[in-house]
Amino acid sequence: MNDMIISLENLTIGYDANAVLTGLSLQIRRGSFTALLGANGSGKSTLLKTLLGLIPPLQGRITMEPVNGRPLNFGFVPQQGDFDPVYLLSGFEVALMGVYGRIGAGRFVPSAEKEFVRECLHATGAEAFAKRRFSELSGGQKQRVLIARALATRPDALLLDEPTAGVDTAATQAVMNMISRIHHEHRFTVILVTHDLHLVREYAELVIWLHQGEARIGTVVELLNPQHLAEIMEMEFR
Amino acid sequence: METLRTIFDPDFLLRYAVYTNLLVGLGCPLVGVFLVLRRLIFMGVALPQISSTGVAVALSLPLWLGWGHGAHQGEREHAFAIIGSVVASVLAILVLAFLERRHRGLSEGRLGTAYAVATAISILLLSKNAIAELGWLDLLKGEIIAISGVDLTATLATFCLVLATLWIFHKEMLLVSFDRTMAVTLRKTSSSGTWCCIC
Repeated sequence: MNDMIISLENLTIGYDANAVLTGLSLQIRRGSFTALLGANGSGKSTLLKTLLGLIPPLQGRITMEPVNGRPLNFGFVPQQGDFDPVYLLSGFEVALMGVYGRIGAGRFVPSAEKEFVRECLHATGAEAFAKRRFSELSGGQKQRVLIARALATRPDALLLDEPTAGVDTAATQAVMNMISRIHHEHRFTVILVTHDLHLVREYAELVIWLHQGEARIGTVVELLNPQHLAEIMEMEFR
Repeated sequence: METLRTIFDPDFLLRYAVYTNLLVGLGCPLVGVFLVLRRLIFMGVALPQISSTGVAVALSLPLWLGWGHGAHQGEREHAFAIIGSVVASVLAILVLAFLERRHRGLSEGRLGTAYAVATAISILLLSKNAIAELGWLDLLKGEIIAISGVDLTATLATFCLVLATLWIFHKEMLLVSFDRTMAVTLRKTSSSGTWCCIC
């Protein structure tokens, strides 16, 4: 079995004809924990959207290794502020959306799937507040529900877009510990977009640092040593 | 109570109009709630105007093609109006959905432009047509008093179609409205995309 789950070859990504990142080549190993770092506008979210198939690459090739002969299944955790509070959905109903991909049009959600969603909510510690309205939950609680929803998709890879943005320190630690535990238990491939170097140092194995249309790739030890950090920070502020 | 009994009396001349209004009143909010949820409420203003423009174009076609004088040709005029309205609405929805997917401008801007262009075309067509005042204005403004049995049946069929669509694609429409990114990752946009565009 191929150990690589996602391969990018000379990839150029961006919107319309405007390239945000050029010449990106890297491989992401099955079951690895990769952190995507970079300043605002460096292309982190664009890369994530390209991997998810939301925007087509401008150039180059993305290869995703099928799992058991089927296409790769992504569990995506967006930023908790991305949702319109006008929806009167409970946390459970939001998490239930994770199983919609396995249920055909016009069919009810089977009770076994509902039970699975409850298990996912339990795993993320969101069971207690799952009946409350999603829009009324705190930042950390929303993230737990959204991670439960991503788990409910039975993903091969978990993509998290700044899951701890706007979340207090204690909740951040709890959410990250939970992601780390799930990663170790299920051996999902995790790709985490974040600005938090402390979190990267603590949890990630591979680091992709995006800066001015280019990417630096390496392990935490290679990229997050004082010498490299000073170099990168100088680049960021230049 | 007496007035209500009179309205629903089988001999009441305008009873079909009442039934049709009831169906429209029941069906529109079901679809309209998705427009509100997707922040597309201006669609509710722009689409009827585009539909009216479709009617105006369809009614003008026989005149342009020399198929008759165009005024009050009964069933044929009626059929043309419905076809024009449906074609214009569906085309507008497809174009707006395409622009939405290509992220061309703001949705309010697109809808506003569509509304203004549709209104201008309607006015131009009316002003160019000597016999437009003979019944067309009422049709274009939606001031319809009497409804035929065929219209009532068509409205009932549309209402049933809306109910069936909402029943079948409810999960998909909710998902696409709430979180389109997730819908894409779950590959749920192809089956429901068209219906959500209509919403």
